[in-house]
Amino acid sequence: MTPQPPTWGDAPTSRAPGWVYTDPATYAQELQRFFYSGHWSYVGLDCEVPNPGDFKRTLLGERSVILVRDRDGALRVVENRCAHRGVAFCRERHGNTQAFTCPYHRWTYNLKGELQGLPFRRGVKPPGAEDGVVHGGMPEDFQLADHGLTQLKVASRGGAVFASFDHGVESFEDFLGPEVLPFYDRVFSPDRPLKLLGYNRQRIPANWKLMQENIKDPYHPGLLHTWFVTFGLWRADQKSRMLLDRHGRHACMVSTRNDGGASAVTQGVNSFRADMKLNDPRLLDVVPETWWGGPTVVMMTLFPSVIVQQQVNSLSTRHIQPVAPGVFDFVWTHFGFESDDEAMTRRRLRQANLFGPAGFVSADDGEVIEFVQQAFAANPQARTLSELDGRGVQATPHMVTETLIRGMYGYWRQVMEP
Amino acid sequence: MKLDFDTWQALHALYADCAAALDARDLHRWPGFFTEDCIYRIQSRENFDRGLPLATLAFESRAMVKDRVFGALDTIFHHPYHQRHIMAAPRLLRQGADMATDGLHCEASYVVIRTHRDAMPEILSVGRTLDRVVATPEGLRYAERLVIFDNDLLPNSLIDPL
Repeated sequence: MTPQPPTWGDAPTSRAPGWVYTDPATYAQELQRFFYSGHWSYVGLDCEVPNPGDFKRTLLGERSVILVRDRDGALRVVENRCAHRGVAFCRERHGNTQAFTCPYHRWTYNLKGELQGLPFRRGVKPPGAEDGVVHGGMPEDFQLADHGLTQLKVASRGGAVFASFDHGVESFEDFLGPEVLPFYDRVFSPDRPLKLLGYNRQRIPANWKLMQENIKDPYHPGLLHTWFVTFGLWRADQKSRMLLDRHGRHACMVSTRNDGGASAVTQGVNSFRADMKLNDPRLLDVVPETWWGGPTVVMMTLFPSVIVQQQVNSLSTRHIQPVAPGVFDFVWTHFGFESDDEAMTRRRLRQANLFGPAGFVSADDGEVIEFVQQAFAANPQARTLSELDGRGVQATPHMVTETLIRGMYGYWRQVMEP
Repeated sequence: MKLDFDTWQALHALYADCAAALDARDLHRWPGFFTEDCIYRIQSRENFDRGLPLATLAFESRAMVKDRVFGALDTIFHHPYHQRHIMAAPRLLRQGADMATDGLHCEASYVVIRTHRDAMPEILSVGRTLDRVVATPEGLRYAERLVIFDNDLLPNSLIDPL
């Protein structure tokens, strides 16, 4: 019998029990209900596979999948699991190929994942045997068409690619919803093809949801991150708003930077450094771009699999790949636009110093969520307290709130406690 | 290619002293091992081999290097740790015609072991440095230092320079 997850009990949704980060049965059920059914998950950018035959191996939940551009130029996503014995046959992280061949018994698939052939399908004629005598072979009713790779449903919009094992999933546009879709389209526009800049990969010893929560938490950046509060990149006296989709699962944190400096929101905040100046100001050489349309930062959490970051001139997708209840891999793909001139590409690369596993403002996010995990692993019955700005869930015209975290757990409970 | 003993010794001392300053967490000394317009990058082997420009950290001047020192010591919250460099002797790839402008092109393998407070040691980073070392009035300095790490995954975060 499969172990059953513990129950939430009478506590409000604002107080998540520690076992949501540690319980193996809960984790297994999350993979089934959020990653393998009913949702779209991020797999990559179309600029990672520009030509027919280009592929990229990645993960959807814990399952290995391949994003590939077929001979007709269409994007496909197939599972990296041979239909025969289950070998995860694709070992390179990227490349170009005519076909996928499993090394174990040489089963061969085309770029759509259709099985093309396999050795000894019709058996082997022994040396010297009479006509009609064959050894082995697959049963007569064996059909190639029945044994392709698992093909996923694919949605490609504005240069980013999502996939789902669930062919009954709603459209990608309905999945994002009318509140979030405009912010998605703001970054990913068919008018602005993307340019790949590179990757950062880190393994974080914490539950995958803690990273979603970190980017649904507009309260912490102006307190934890010296650079954000001191240089006015994210702090409570900025013009900002928080919004969610109708389910509360996706969110956008939208804000416009100010000049920084001392104010009511820096009093008593010891991460604020009034006298701090950069020795080389090029690290924050911000140039506004017309497509921003006002906000200087929009952080999107698309549940369950990805965060889309625009913080001034730095753009990335941050892919959440669960490994175990207390571990996930966090893969950052930084990008710009084909239309960027050399100066803009350099600017994006310089500002990338703020982000990633060593980033001036992101390194400590990995650290603090590790400490959260340690505490709840030691005491799974203890609870969080996410009640800044009340216990309800609503869009807000400010950042002094934990409404987005409550929204996510409201949705989580609907799916996990039907 | 053959270096005279004094140059070889000075090159070896640059590598060893730079690693020792980092391992002692004497980070204020660290920018002094670089020229004013130095390049310093920590980049995954994946990005390096594919020609992708993104680095995990990328600095274009000694001033930026100093900004990282302030960040590591004063602004980035993290669990305390010690780090330990195991550096191979530099391998000379090319000797430029002019020691002041072109200098010595070298490569050196490294392992950096991190010991978090309360924890067992672990490998934080393994890879090689690709360096260009030039002669300055103060002695040999790094004009370029690319730290190319083999790790496909970084164990959570990277705070101090490598």
